[in-house]
Amino acid sequence: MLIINDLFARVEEKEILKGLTLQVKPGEVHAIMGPNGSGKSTLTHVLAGREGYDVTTGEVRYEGQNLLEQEPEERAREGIFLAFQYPVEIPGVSNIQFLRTAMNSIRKHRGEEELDAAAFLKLARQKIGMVNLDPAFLKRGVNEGFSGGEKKRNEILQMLMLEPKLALLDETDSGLDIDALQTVANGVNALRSPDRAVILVTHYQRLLNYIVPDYVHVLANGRIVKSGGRELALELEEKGYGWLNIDDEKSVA
Amino acid sequence: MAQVINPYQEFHRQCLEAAKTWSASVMPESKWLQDTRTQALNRFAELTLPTRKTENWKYTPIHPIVKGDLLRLAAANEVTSADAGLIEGQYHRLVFQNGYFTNSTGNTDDRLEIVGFSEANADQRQLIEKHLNQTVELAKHPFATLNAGTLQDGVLIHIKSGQRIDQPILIEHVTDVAVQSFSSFTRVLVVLEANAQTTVIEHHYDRTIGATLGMSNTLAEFFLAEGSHCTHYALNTEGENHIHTGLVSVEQQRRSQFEQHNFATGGKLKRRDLQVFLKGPQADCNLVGAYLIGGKNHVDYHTTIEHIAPHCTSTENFRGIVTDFGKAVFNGRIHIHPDAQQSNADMSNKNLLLTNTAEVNTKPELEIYADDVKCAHGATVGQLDEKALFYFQSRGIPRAEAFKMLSHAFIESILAEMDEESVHAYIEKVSSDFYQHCQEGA
Repeated sequence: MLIINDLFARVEEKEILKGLTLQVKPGEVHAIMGPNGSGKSTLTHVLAGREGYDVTTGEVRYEGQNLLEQEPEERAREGIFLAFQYPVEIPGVSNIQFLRTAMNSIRKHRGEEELDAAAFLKLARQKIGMVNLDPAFLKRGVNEGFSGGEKKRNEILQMLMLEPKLALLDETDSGLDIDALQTVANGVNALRSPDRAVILVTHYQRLLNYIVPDYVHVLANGRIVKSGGRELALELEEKGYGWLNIDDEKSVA
Repeated sequence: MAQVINPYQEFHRQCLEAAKTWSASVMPESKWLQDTRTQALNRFAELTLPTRKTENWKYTPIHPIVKGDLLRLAAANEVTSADAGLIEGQYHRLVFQNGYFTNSTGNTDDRLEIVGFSEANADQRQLIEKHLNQTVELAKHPFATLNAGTLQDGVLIHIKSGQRIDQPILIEHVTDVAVQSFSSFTRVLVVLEANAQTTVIEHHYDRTIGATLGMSNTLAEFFLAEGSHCTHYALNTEGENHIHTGLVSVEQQRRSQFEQHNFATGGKLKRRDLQVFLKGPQADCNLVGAYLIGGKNHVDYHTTIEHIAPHCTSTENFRGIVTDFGKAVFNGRIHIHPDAQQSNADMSNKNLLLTNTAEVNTKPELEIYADDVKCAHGATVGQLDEKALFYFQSRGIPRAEAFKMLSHAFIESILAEMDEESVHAYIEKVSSDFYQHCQEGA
């Protein structure tokens, strides 16, 4: 599904990813861990197509296509979804208007019929229950005045609505209490299927108690320095990153 | 050596000449009306037309008016047919066509009076004479002064004491230039007696199809007696070949409330002056506005709030989107007089610039002569947030669509206040047409 090969990328002239290689197959859940500034968020933003994240060398193939040539909206329509670490507040656009526009532009791309207001609302009300948000949130401005936890739930709601093939979760667990964490995990688990894949970027092993990954990778200084199964995360929690000869302080910010 | 003639001075002279000639040609009518005109024209003769050096007109040069071949008034037979207006709804509908007042729907509600000045009875005439031009400060506003100097007819709206008129009054100011350019003048006088309530919607638009320039000049005065409440919409949606100047002048007595909703888009040049005199304690005014300016359009809102009595509140919130080669000007003046203790004034102007060829000039002007007041103001000019655009794109929404949605979001809070249903629907439609032309870059 996703093949990242020897990827170098920079943000504002600063090299962040330095030869990252990773393969993700349908049905798999990959957790990416690593110290601050190791390039975890950069990786998800490069994959989603954020402007200002320039790939210098290397390639990314998604479903056989050269992903890096595609605009962010094309990637989204092809099934890539990024759950933001810091979701943007958009006063003046209601959550429901935003979601419906997104959903219909994806459906249109897939050759499916656009959902009318009633059908959409019905679906949205059903999915919002899965993330324990009050349906009143649908009418509010996108993320406007939402608490940190509500924003993350809203990201998961969007993910459940848009049903991506490849979900990228950028520290979705940070700052969440245990209830919210469980909700987020339930959302991701509900999406898991043999033809979908998930990349979880996280600082903490905690989330992996709820979303059990197939692979755990340690990203440091712009490349993957160690990969393993679920037990690697537990080992990291116990020992920190020191035993991998990673100097936290030297990592790029 | 031949004398160099300043084109502004020459235009000023020609305006005066034309107005005097026209005034003398009008059918014999009341001496009072003639005197009013003469008085205004005398003031007009004394003033100097604004140039780039005139602070109040610094960013709105009047040369399109000077060069516009606009000295002619439309003849009565140039009046077009009274088609349905652009805003549909249950209204008391009044129409000015090319400056001529045609009272189209008869008013059967005896709690209010709607009457053309020329048809006013003795009592109504007295009411008109008592109020007309009382708040205008003629010499300050050259074009309003010219308007007063060409006064032939206008409309009086009078709401009687304690009456609440639920059906809004819609005044359409329509211009339709067929072949030859002209200026049209319209005049509105609204008098609310104590505790009266009403909504007045003024819609300025044009039906001009060709490229011939037209100009409209309007002057509206509002008198709000104690405890009265008036909601006023002022919509300016004239097209490319139109120049508009307008003054709205409001006098508020004790505990009266004035809610004003402004909306402007299109037009070669639009200059709107809004002035409010808070004369009685606890009077409250709230002015909001949205402008959508593209092409080579130009809009200028000049507001003045005169806090004269103590314990009054005023809020202003204007937002604009400016793109292409559009230009927008906002000048908000708050003047707190020495006796106006415990005044509370709040003013905000925010602008979204979509292209680097567009221009915004925004300026707050505060003059405070009382010591116990609250006065806040803020002005911003910015661009769409790149992070927000990416957020939309990352959900599959094309960048161009995201651009439109985020532009609209910028003025959404202003439009939400304009809650008169048909008006709101109309503004949403006009806005959505505007965004279709909004593009990134350029």
